[in-house]
Amino acid sequence: MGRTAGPPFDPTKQRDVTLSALKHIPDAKSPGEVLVLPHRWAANDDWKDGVMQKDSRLPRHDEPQYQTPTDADAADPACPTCVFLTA
Amino acid sequence: MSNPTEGQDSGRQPPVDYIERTRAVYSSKGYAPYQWVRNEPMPLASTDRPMSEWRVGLVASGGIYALGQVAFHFRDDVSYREIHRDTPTEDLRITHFAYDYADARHDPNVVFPLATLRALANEGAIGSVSERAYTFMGGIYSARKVRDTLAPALADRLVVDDVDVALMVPV
Repeated sequence: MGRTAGPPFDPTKQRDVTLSALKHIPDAKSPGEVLVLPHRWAANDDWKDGVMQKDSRLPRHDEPQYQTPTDADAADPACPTCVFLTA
Repeated sequence: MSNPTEGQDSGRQPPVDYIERTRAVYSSKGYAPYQWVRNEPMPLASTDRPMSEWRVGLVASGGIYALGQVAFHFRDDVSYREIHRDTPTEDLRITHFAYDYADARHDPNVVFPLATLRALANEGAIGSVSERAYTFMGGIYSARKVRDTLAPALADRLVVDDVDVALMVPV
């Protein structure tokens, strides 16, 4: 999880992941098909040991959670490209 | 395409059973058994155009926003962001409460392949990247809000943008 479109800083594999998905569209026969790619994201599978072994979710704040404080300072509160929906 | 098992060795582990591990984590906290969303599959749509002519849309749930935009919050945030196709990668940011974004913050293309699509358009593999990509923070526990509010709004935007296909990138 968190690396859906390919390994970080590997534009060659990232390109193949995205291009493979797009190329599969005309060939898809049913919704939900899974195309298995030959790529490996990591050199070994040690990372699997730690996946979902504890609750690592962050607290669920109601306020915007910026990556950096600088981002908060740069944010335009009127943000014309932010679309807030009423659910 | 090459054999998907190519390169495997005996040290490989089987795929992570996310559903079972999710059940275990939730039950350890005393929660009731998780009720998984069951979505009805939609019929496939098709396009007669070749891929080299496609206008490709991009929708991603990894909490991506651009410098200058308001970030997402973490409590069933059903807002979305429009991100222009020419946005520099260094202006992209990531915020989310429930996945490992350590790599994504250094290389947003792993959850938001906008630069990848730009490159594919430049080399002629696809026709173009739609002018606006759409992002949201997918950690939304209300399936109803997604089904009735966010998803239809995004679908409407893709129709307005007249995309031939849309690439949906979960995290």
